[in-house]
Amino acid sequence: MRKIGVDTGGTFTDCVLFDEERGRVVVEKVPSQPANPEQAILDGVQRVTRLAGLSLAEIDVIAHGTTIATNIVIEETYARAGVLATSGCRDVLEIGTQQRPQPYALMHAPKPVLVPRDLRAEVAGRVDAEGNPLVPLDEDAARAAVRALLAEGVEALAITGLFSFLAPMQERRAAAIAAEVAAEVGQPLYIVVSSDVSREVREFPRFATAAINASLAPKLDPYVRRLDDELRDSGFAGELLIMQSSGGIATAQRSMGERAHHLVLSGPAAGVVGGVDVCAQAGIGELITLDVGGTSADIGVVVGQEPRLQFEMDLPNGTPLQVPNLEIETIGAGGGSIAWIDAGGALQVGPRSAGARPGPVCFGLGGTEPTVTDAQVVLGRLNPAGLLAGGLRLDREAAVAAIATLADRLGMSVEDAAMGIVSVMEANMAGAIRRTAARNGDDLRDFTLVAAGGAGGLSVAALARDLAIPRVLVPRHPGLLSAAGLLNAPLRHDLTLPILIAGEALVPDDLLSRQAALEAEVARALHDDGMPAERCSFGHALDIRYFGQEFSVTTPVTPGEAVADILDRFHVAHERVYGHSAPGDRTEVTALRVNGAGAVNAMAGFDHAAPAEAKSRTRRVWFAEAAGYVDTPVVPREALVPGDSLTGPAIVEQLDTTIVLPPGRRAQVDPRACLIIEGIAE
Amino acid sequence: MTATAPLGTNAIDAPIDPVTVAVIGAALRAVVGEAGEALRRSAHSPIIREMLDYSCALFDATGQTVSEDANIPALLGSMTYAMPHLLAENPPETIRPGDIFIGNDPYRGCTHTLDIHIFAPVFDGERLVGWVGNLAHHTDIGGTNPGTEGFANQSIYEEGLRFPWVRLMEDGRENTALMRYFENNTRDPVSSMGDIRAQIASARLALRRLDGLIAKYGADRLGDAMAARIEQSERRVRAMLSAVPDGSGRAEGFLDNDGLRDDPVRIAVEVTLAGDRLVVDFTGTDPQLSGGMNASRTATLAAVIFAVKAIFDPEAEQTAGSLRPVEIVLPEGSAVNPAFPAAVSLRHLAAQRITDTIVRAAADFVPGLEVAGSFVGFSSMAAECRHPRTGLTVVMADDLGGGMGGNGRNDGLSGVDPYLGNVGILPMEICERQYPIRILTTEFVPDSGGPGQHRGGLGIRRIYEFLDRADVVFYTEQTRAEFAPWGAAGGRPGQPARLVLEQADGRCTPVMKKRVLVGPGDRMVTETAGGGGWGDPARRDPGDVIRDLREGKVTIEALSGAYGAATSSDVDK
Repeated sequence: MRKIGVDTGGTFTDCVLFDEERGRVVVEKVPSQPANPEQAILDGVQRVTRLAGLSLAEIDVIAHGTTIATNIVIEETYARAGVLATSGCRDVLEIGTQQRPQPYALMHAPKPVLVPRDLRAEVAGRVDAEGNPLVPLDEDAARAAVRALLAEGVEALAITGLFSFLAPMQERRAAAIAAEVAAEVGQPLYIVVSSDVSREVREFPRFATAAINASLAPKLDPYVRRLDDELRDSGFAGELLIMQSSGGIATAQRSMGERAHHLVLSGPAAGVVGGVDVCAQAGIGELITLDVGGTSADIGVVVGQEPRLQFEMDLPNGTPLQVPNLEIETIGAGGGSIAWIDAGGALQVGPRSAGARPGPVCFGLGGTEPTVTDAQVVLGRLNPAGLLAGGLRLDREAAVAAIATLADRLGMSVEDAAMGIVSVMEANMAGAIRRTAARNGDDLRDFTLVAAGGAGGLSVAALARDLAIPRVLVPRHPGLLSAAGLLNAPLRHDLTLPILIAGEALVPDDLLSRQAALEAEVARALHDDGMPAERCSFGHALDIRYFGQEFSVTTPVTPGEAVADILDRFHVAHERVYGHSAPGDRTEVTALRVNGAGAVNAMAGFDHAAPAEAKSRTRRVWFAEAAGYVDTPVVPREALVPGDSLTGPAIVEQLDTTIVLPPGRRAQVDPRACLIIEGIAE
Repeated sequence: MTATAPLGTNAIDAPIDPVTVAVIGAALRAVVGEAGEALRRSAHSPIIREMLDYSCALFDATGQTVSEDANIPALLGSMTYAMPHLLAENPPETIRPGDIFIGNDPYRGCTHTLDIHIFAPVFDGERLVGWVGNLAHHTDIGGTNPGTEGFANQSIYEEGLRFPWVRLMEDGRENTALMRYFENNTRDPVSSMGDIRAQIASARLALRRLDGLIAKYGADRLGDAMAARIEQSERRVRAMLSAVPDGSGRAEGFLDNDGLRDDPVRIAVEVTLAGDRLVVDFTGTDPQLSGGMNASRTATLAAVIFAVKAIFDPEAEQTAGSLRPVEIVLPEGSAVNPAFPAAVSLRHLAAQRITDTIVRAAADFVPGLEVAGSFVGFSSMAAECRHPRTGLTVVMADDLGGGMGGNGRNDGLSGVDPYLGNVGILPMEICERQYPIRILTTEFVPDSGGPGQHRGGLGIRRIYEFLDRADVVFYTEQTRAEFAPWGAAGGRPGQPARLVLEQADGRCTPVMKKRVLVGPGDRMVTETAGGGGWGDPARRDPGDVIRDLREGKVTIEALSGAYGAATSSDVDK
């Protein structure tokens, strides 16, 4: 088996090739091409294949983490979509929750609307809260409405009706009519019904999910097809897989159409999955991934080797999307975060970022405002000779000058100011990690902090000490963690069946048969993906709540187990999530959930070339602990082999990242070449 | 964001370096955020968990606010103004480690009885170095009405339990007598106890975190950093105020009535900026109301804080320092500073109107504050009814937003809860599954936005149909055309709110504030007000006019009246 993981990021497209037969791993980074992402992928895949001495025809699987859906969402370059709503629903999409994104803005900017009102038609038709028809669908009006929307040039249509998650018949009928009309008119029309993309109660998030799907599919489908075609034209004959927001992976075929919106968090999810794998190999199940790039830091929490999954997320503009996704907290703190002094004289770092362009002052690309990266250069932590093995040169003088302006106004030395910038950014990150943990009642003392991204290694050791996290793990290639995650992610399908039954009234046989039916549906999907049955595993859960509450707790269950045991587990889960429980109170089951995972052949981990010549140098690096510069050994990562250990102060440098080991901290190299920093030395 | 103000000599005089201040500041902010997450996670009531109706804050040894979150603008400053009352009633020498104080009395610094505040002192050994505090909106605290609030309440004695600043915990032990008494005097004891315990747990978490900061930085440096942060935010607000030319503006705003009678209630405000000082003077405001819609003193102050922050520096963090440059004149015994024992539970409507009126006054002289009036009616419905599947008694509550005023750059937002509020709308599917109430439609009201170069946002029409009998309270503001959201710079006012009860037997009754028993087939038609328009409607971009017509946000009938013939002829083309 030979596989390639390709992760498209904002600046670079990372490729990891794993050759099982030869037990080899080859990595390559190529510049991303935002206008033509598939060109960078093709380029990267071909180069990494050549580097490995292979041809594309010899590759069995290419797994892809894509930001294309994320970018469409952020840039709002959606397809032109329409909405066909039944009675009383036309404006739900625009009213939303009626909340203002910026509560303190008196002159508020317009709220983005996915589908403008003139492309949202309403026709008579209504289902009641039990799923019974109340007002029949006005088919003539539906026909006329679709005709009018087609005349307006819509490429996609979302059909939305109340209680369709209980009774989808009116939505389905409307979809059939829309398809007929489009065929008559001879215009292509992508059609999605809300009950097919989400079976959850609450009209706004479900309708929004359908509208986002409709607005994405006509753009994403051609991209996925084009990528698949071009790979095949280049000789690839294997399977193209795409990362989903859930941290699972799906075939290219299943990443289109109805599932287009599952790709919105494709990129960040891969990073968390990569963290799970690298930690699993080290026997670690509880971890927090800290993925720091140029503009933001992503924090993911993994418990018992399972990334924390949620079933709804908010897009950056506040629109809800109902899709299984990994709970990832993002804050505006990264290498490009700008340091500034506010009107009151307070030092602030971020959330504004210089990004990749103009970038930090030291990049010499036109940036003028001091950033965190400039501070790291001043402190000697980043190699002034350049990053990416000299691929990116850094202008230390310019960085010093930029920080000096700030230092003057603060009345302190350049180094103190630079250290201050780094400390403030790290304090902001620490705050975000604490909040994330508090949300789920996690105790940080149980976790390992995993560095990811280009800049994670600079801060993890300091952060772990601050947060009393007992262990830090720096993977062999933190910058390639996402690409590596792609190689190990399971093929995954999730299904939900809404019900409403008092917990105490559950009939075990009835429950079992519903679960079996759902599982069979998921198993069929995995089978259709070509996944052998023996590699498939299934997980079941029930959404349960106390009677009278609105929100449920997703409680894992085993089919066939006693109802009393399930409810006991619910009370425990409620206690964990909410800090209290009420055994004996009435409960309601609101949904059945099943997920099916088909295991892929796990990657053995990066191998490591023979230890490079130990060309350790020293550099003057400023440490707060020493309140000054310290002659610090700079160790090439390649020189570190399993069993080695290192005591700070030290800097470890490698192509994709730089790691800071503060004075007195000890790092060991584990059998997989990961750096493990343990103990909270002071 | 501005990054250019000179530091003057402060940087040199400061006893602590600005980096340590910033790092400790970020750590304090993190404590507030973490304590908030912990409170939210373990609270019992949806109003806390889903609507985020809670707040956390940290204070220095003298009770000055150092860091405060701002989930819901209406809660800003509540703890700040409560703290001096706590300290006045509990001299420093009586305060011990392990104490936790409880209070909710609007006549002791709180805004209404439902917001329960707790405060715990932070000690380094025997030395008091700070305070942690939080407040949460409880579902019920007793009194005349379910949910405690009531527009027809005639005194504070109808508004449930009042906790003076007494110890809920003493020396780390719960005051069992007080807890039992509390438990037995609320309609929802399970939620009340769950929520108060969540508040205690959150405060204790904040205490542990501050202990950690004391261990790391020492009490002296922590105290210095707190003082420096307060000074920084005072300097920041003064710099922001100084950047605006001196000036003064006056405005009046009205409540439709006082909850009992028909007479409107006047709120008068004068805003004067001189150098780096701002005076907000409510002289001329009507005397306090006989009903429950008075703005308690602290509720008025919260409305002022919101307005000042939103007008001058929305990004600023809130500390005691941000309030120092602002002088607030509140006539005793007025609707904005009622004397004991006036009822204040529904203070939110008046507070919204206060903010709206301050914004109107400030728009007279603050350059760049180009904005028309927003909906402040907060059309609400609360229904005590039977659960459709179980028959158990349940209480449904829904609050509808309306239009925001148009502004110098854009049309106003449609269908939002403006100013101090920002609550969510009740999803139709949740309503119908949990209550015997069907929602026939939720849609924009065409033509409700005030015409203008930048139109006011639209109001919402929601029609509730009752499928079973229910005991219902409705209330709203801005049903009178003269009090509808105001237009500015030549823009016209928004359409007023309109509530009509359509009974199954054919009777139709307009409603302003009403408690009524309804039965199957009765309907409540609610239309909230649209925002005021900004700028002369004749100057509206024809492209925007055409888009409004296409989207059905303005009808062709309303168009010629509102935007004049010139644009109508453009449309014909």
